[in-house]
Amino acid sequence: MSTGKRFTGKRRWLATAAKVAVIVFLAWLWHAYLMFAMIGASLVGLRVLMSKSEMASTLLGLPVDERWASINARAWALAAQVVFAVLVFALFLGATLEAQGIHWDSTPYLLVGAALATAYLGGVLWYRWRQ
Amino acid sequence: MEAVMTTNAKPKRRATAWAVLGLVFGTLLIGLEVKQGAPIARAAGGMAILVAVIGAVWVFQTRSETASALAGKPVDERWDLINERAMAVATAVGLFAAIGGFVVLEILGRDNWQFAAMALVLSGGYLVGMAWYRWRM
Repeated sequence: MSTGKRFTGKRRWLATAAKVAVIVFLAWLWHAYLMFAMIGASLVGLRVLMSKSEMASTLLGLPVDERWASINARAWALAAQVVFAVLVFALFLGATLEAQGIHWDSTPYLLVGAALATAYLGGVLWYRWRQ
Repeated sequence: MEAVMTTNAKPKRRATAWAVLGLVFGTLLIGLEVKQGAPIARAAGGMAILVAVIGAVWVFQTRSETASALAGKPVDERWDLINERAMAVATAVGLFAAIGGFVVLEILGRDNWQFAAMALVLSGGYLVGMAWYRWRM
């Protein structure tokens, strides 16, 4: 028995259609048709596979049961740890290169790192309050 | 009778490795900044913040469940879940920031490969995690 979120087929198709519409708009804006066509095709492909594959359903943000919800949450947590390690390495590499006179802009890493850290701390406080 | 019973209670020992690692990396980064010519006062301020945060979490981790979770040692399943969910939120926000930065720099016509690389690392980490935990669970 599962208590995971289940939406009707119509709502799922509407969600996919909305995502594809955003991609088409971005493609029109930046003329990067091939890249956006690939993203759109993968979304539609996942949507088609959704009823047959639990993984496809999870990748679209709709885990079918608690087990898949847990797999999804753990995969997100792992991604946070991996990117945090990469960010620390990138900052260290950037500072080393800058010290040797080679230009390296660390701002993007700092921004994403700050967003990650703030969201993590906010998440801890939020879920501590809610649970 | 206790109000909440958990099966994953861990002994109250301080997690120290992360604190040492954080201090070493932080000191190296600040040292490199000084070598580049950053003002000593700014470097000292940065070092003070680093030591204060790491020190506070290290000292209070045996008394505060929040500090313990921040130190990477959640005291029970509830805190495991809180930690996991907070990390999931952080990943989603980080991905949003990376894609947002990519889009903004694309509009401005500037080089945006760094944001693209971070979005790639985040989504790659997520997909690898998905495959790994699907296999394990």
